[in-house]
Parts: sequence; structure tokens; C-alpha cells
Amino acid sequence: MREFQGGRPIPGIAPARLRLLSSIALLLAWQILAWAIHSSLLPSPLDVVGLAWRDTLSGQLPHDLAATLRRVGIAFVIAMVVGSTIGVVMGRSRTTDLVLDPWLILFLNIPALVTIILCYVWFGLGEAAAIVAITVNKIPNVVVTLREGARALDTDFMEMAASFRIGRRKTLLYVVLPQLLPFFAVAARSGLALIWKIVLVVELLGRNDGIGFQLHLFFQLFDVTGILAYSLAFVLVMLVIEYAVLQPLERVANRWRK
Amino acid sequence: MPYSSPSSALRTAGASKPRRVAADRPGGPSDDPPWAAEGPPAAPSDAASGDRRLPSGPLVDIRIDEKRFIDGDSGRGRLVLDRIRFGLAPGELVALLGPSGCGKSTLLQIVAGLDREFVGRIRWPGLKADHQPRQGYVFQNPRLLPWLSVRDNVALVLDHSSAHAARIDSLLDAMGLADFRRLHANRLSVGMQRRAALARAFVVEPHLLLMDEPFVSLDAPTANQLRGLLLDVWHAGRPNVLFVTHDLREATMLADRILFLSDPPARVIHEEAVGLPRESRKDQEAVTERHGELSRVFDALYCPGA
Repeated sequence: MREFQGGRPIPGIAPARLRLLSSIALLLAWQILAWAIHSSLLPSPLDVVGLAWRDTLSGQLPHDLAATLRRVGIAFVIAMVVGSTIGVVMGRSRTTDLVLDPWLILFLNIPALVTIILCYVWFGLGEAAAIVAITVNKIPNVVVTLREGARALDTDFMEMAASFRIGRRKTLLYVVLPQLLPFFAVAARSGLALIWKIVLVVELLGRNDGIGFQLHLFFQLFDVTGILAYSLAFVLVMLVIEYAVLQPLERVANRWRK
Repeated sequence: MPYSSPSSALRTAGASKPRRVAADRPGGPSDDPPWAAEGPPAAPSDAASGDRRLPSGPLVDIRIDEKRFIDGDSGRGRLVLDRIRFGLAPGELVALLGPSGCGKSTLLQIVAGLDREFVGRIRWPGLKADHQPRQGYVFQNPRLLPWLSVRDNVALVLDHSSAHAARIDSLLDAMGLADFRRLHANRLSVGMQRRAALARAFVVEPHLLLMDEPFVSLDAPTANQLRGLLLDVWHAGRPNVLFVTHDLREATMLADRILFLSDPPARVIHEEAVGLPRESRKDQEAVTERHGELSRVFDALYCPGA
């Protein structure tokens, strides 16, 4: 339980070992099930890894993976910058909040598929339309989180900064941003999860490379091995980013907490 | 026990006739140099060593004709501060004493420039016109930024903190925080956090130090130790101090002059010079004796029936 409360690793090896055992158990169950059913609709893990390895050597998988990751990266950065700016302004200015709130609710409730279709219809089947579609889906998400963060800014600290007249730059850097950082981290993680899901649909509908495009091809051929190989490669990259980048960053940001 | 019964305090407010206190101090010869805006405010002199001679001009001149809070429901203004006028002579320590909720903190915020919605004006005749007064503020809660180290919290309020490294470190030494300067502020005990907050207020070499019940919610020995520390550090720079308290003994120990505020809307109903020489401020007996005398003044003001 402490894992969830503090985000701090428990001393000792137990949790890591538990995780490993659980993953191995899942793989074993899959393998046994595949043997038992013996159908092309449920390939074994070994088949999947084999295909992934062959396509990696041929360059097909890395190419599609890179195309998808590029879209994810660009859309993520744009959405975080635009979304947190709007969110902070809405959180600090009552008038802006009142004006923009209906728009926010509208955009939060438009289904992702609708945004994607409209973007392709209006901007053509191009890279820019794809990026815009992903970004527009994610921005409301970031706005809501950062608005909460801006509303939760501690007035005691703001008063302290004002009474010592430390200036706008220092107030922003040392008083405001550290308080927003946890909200920013939450928006980044939940936003990334959202983008992973949307980007594949975007590629499936209107691009000619990327994991989503490949999944589309495999779907038409009913090639389950291909579907699993490409999506698992994608999930693997996502896990690496989560554990190697996002979680350590969050730990650094929360270092000062008790 | 001050303010033991709210109802008696209420009766007092109705019964006592608030007496106006002249805002401007009477002029007089001064051996205390007027405070310049720049340079270390060290100028040693004995003007503030307990005697009551006041220098010619006040450093800061406070005149609040009226301060109202707008009530959320009715939208009507509720009068909190009513015709409060006083000046602070250079180097003077003034205590604002009054029942809780009478608007003492609001008064400090107005003086600090945090609250500008009031009728009146705060003037700094002791400063050149184009100079911003440097001020330190010690809040009721320490308000240290938990994501910064103790030292960085103190350094944050300085404009060019790297140029003043020695001053920061010597203040932390004086506050007994030398070994804790690298710790995050939230790892300290409450007493140490308050010491760090004092260091932060003094490091700017303030013209005016504002303190809002700075030693409240500490155990008596710790609070007393911090009061002694405050007196020591005060000697180095001799800033003006305006502080809010509800503790008459604390006011007796620290202040040159005590302003007694009424129940809301707060007015200054009485002012009394403490008249203890600086050197006997830490002498518990002398403080106790003067406290006894002031208690009678206090009782006459707030509990006339008792």
C-alpha cells in the first residue's frame, strides 16, 4: 500500500520480484492457452516475439514505431504547453474561467473519433491534421488538471512573496511553479496514456505509416500475430517511458516531501 | 487572564469611550539619525534604549480612516478599522494589543501594502520619495517554502543573494540554524521554522519589521528564548518593529510602546509607553513588575467591572 501513498520505492526487493513473477505467470498462461487452443487466432508468445524480431531486423517495425513516437512526442509537447497555459490562466482569472468554461466542457465531451474525422476533412489527410487531431483531444484534459493546480495555489505563500517584494520572476520560479509541478506531472502521465490510444486511431484512419497503419493492414488480413507483435512493441516502449522517464521525474519533483 | 469572557469584552466595547490618539508624535530633539533608504541601518545610538524621547519625524506615518470588509451575502461593508492613526519613531518597537478578531492582522497587512483597499494613507516621511521601504514580515505561521532548503528560503528574499552570502550565514548562525541550513524547511521543528522565518525577515535589513503573533503556539520556554533572540538580532540593525500580539507580557518585554485596540471596529483606545531600558528586557523580574502595572491599565480598559 505504501507504494501508492508516497510513490517511494519500498526498501528491499519484494515488490520487484512480485512484479516479475506476475509477468512470467501471465506469459506462461498465454503460452499454455495457445498450445491448448492451437488456432491461428491465438498465436503463442514465441510466434509473436519471432515476428517482432524479424520485422525489427527488416526495419519495418522500427520505421513505424518511430513514425508513431514522433507524432506522440510533437502532439504531447504542444498540448502540454498550450493546455497548461490556458489552465493556469483559467485558474487565476475568474473572468477567463467563466468565458472559456463552456468551450472546455464542449471539447471534453467531443468523442475523439469526431475530432479526428473533422480534422482530416478540414485539413486534408496530412501529417499536420493528424497532429492537430491528437493535440485537440488532449488539451482539455491538461487544462482541467492545471486549472485545479492554479486554483490550489497557497495564498499564504503568495502573500509572503508580495510582502518581501521578491518580484514576478522569482515568484513564478520559486513559489508558483513548484506548487504546479505535481499537477503538471499528473497531466503529463494521464495525457500520455490518452495520446497512446488516440494516435493509433489517427494513423488507422488517415496515415500510411505508423503502428496504427500496420494494425489496419494486419486487421484486413486477420493476422493476429502481426497485431500482437506491433501493439506489444508499442506497449513496451510506453512502459519504458513510464518507468525510465516519467516516474523518476516525478520522484525528483517530490523529493522535498516528507 | 485576558479576554477570558467574550461577553465581558463585548460589554467593554459598548461601554468604553474610545479616546482618540494623536497621529503625529510631538516633535523633539533627536540624537537618532534619520533612516536613510540605503546603506546598512546600523547607526548605533541610544535613542531607542528605553527612554521616551522621540525623534522629530516618524519613519512611517500610518493613517487609516476606515477599512471595511464586504460581507459576501448582504454585500454591505462591515467596518473593521476605524480612524487608526499613529507614527513609528526610528528604531521604535510598537506592540498592537487587542482582542482576537479585532483586525490587528488586517492592520499589519495594510501597513505592509498587501491590502490596498482602505481609506487613508501610509506615508514614509523618513525615506526619500523614490525609495521603496525594505520590510520584513514574520507571519503567524512560518510560511517557509517546503521545497527549498532553509538557507535558500532566507536567500530568496534578497535581490542579489550571492553578494550577501556572509550575512545569510551569520544570521543563520545567530539563530542556531547553522547545522540545518541544507535541510528542506519542512523537516524542521516548529520552533526552528520560526527562527528561520525571523532570519528571513532580518536578512533584508528591513526599515520596518512587521510581526503577526510571531511566537504564538510555541511552548513558553521556546517562545521566551525566541523573544530573547529577537532582541539580540534587533540590536544589530535596529529596525522599526510593529508587532501584533494578544499577550500583554510579550508586549511588555519587547515593545517601547503599546497601542491598545478596542473590539471591532478597532480603534486605538489607549497607548502606553513601556519605559523599560533595553538592557533589562531579558530581566524577568523587571518585566514581571512592569507587566503587573500594565495589567491594571489593561483591566481598566477591557474589564472595567472586574
